Amino acid sequence: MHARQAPTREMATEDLVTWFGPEHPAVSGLRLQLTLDGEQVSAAEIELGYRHRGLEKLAERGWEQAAAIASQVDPRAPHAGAAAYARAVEALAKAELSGRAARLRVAILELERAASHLAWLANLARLLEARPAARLAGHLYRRASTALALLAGAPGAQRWIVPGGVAADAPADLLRALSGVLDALRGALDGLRMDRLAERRLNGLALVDGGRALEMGAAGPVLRATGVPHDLRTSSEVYRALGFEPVLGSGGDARARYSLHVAEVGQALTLAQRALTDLPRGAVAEKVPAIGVAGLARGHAEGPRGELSATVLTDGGERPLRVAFRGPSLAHAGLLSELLVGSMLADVPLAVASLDLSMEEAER
Amino acid sequence: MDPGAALVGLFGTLAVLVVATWLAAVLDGLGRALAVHQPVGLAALAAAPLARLGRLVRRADVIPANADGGLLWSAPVMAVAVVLLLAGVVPLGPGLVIADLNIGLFYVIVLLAPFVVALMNAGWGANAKYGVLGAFRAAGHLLAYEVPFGFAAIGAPMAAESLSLVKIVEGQDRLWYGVWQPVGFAIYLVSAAIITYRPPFDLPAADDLGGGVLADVSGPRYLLLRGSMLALWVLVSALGAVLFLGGWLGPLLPGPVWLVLKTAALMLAMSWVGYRLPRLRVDQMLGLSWKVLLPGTFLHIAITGVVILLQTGG
Amino acid sequence: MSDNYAVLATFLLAGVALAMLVLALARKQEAPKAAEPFESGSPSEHKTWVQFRVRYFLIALVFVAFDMEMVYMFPWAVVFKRVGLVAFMDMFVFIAVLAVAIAYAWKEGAFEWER
Repeated sequence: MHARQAPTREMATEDLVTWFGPEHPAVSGLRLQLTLDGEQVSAAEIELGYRHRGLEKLAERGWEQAAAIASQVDPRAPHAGAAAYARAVEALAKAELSGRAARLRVAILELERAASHLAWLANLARLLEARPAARLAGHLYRRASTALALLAGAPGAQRWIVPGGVAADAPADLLRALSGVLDALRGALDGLRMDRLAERRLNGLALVDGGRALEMGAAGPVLRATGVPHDLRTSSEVYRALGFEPVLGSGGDARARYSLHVAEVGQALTLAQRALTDLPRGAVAEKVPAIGVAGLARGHAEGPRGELSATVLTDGGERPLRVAFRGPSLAHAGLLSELLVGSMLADVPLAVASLDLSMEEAER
Repeated sequence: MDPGAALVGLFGTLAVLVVATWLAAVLDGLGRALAVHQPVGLAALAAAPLARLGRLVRRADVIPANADGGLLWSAPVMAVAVVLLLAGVVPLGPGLVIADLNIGLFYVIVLLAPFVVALMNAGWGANAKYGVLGAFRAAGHLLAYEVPFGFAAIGAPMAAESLSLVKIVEGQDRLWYGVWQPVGFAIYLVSAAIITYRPPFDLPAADDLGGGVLADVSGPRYLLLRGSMLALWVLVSALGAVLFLGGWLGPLLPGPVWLVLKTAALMLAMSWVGYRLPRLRVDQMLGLSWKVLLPGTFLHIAITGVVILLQTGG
Repeated sequence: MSDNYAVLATFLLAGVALAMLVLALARKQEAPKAAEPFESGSPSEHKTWVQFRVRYFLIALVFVAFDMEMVYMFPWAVVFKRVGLVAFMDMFVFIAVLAVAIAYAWKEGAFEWER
């Protein structure tokens, strides 16, 4: 900005090196080693290993086990993981989904996205100390979770998407619950909007460049907030029939991600509502046996944090030879060390939270 | 004042301070609940600080390894001493003041600075990363509050022709200074929030540092420091009432009641507004102080001067 | 007047004594693990008391000047009413100088944190 340089370079100062996480009020599940020059981060290193569970190895024990584990890959998006795995098995067996099952899957994936995004908004608002917005988002999150529980049971035990379709039909009161959340959201949009001070904190924070994000393998809202129209749902027949258009942000910073999340919550709830309206008749599931078919297949689902994929290799036996899961969080964590350089220490929790990392999913 | 009266004054002041600190904790909770539109039970709000007090008294005092013991001790001692010294000059009612100094306002401004040092010592002395970072944020507070605070408060002695807090109150018998010095009053309140580490200026003890200067403070030591911070908030608010809202002046009710009401109103307003705002980074706080508050005080002094000149016909 | 200061000195001593008494009576934590400073759950490895880069040092320099100027304003404020217009003009010049100083510091970027 200024032509004249302040004569600070001549004064010898030392860097302060500190750990940040894993047991930190704002950063959990990963450890950052921050090198601080004043209060400004001059280098950030990420250490993983706090959430590794060896899921992929465990999934090789049997098909039942693999299906259960798929919904544990990202504990905050169990249905997206289950959907990716189900699609992989369906691809192996070359099975087709019934129209009804496909629509029901859309409903639950979108509801899950809405709930996850609302939790993200509540967390970011909490870190911003925007308490009314945090409370509002938290309230909406609980309503969305209640609607989700109507479909798939209590959190933590949710398994509803199965290879071949879905485990059960949607209960009659789901649509009503969904409309209730949507109405509540419409009434709350003003309260969720950022005020000027919050906007100034988020402006330019954790700025992701679209090209670099693609190069690193970023996905989901982090990528879409840079304006790159990458969304698995665009290539889906069912979504296209429901009038889906990806929401895009511009700027790629935390502020863009905040607006994008707010917009995607509304979009997700609307899509879920449309998906449940005038459901085509038909079975919700047909048996898709994984045993007896050999080969390698991959299934994808657009989760709340981006593309989740499951790869299954089998010789047709009683257990899969290899199951691999992949999500965007590792790439996002990789971006983090670049993003933090130059930001103020007080902004680090915000920057980390704005990427919506799921370390469970990153480390599997 | 004979020694007996001084002792009565001392224990009276201590009792008032303890009750005032409890009230500050309640008002803090009430303002927070109002700011987030949370339904509140007054009984629960009133009981929460007492429960906290009970826990803190029983908890052990942890002294971090390799800490600077002297600095660590100095922090609560300085904080409590500053609070008591300030409480001695706040006039509660006509004749109800421990020490009516002829340099009262100046004395207050001088004494506020050591409080910052107390918090810095707590952070630096702990020999912990987050404490050290918090200490440097606390030092930033000193640079942010003091000049606007002093320049905002100067309107009162200009009008009252005295630095004595009693004379300043007596000078407002016709009109409160806050009414015709709104700019100074507003700037006073913002800088008061900075010096007392009220949200949104609570960065030295913020979550991103796991509690910052208070991260490694526990038990009775925490009680003393946190209690002093709350008590300081009461005192600076009471001083705001003295400087801008006519102190104890008011109809019907006795003087001290008026002062308590005005002080509580100011505290509730500060708490409510503060909790609605996102926390400010140190650079944002310093920017606010030097680019908005300080130029604002120049305007305040100029307007106050013109009004006084017009009034006296000089 | 000196009476007042004697009382305040008593207050000072009482405050120091009270705080030290509370600290002396406090139960001490004996477990060595508990004495490790909090650093997000990891043992502290790097130097803590560093020559920290204080980014607001330019503001600190300006602050010292303004703090002194504030001191000069208090006696002025007390006699302002009595002296009248002359005092106002004096202070007007003083504030104008201060404002120029602020403007200069602002232009030089003293209030921007160097990036």
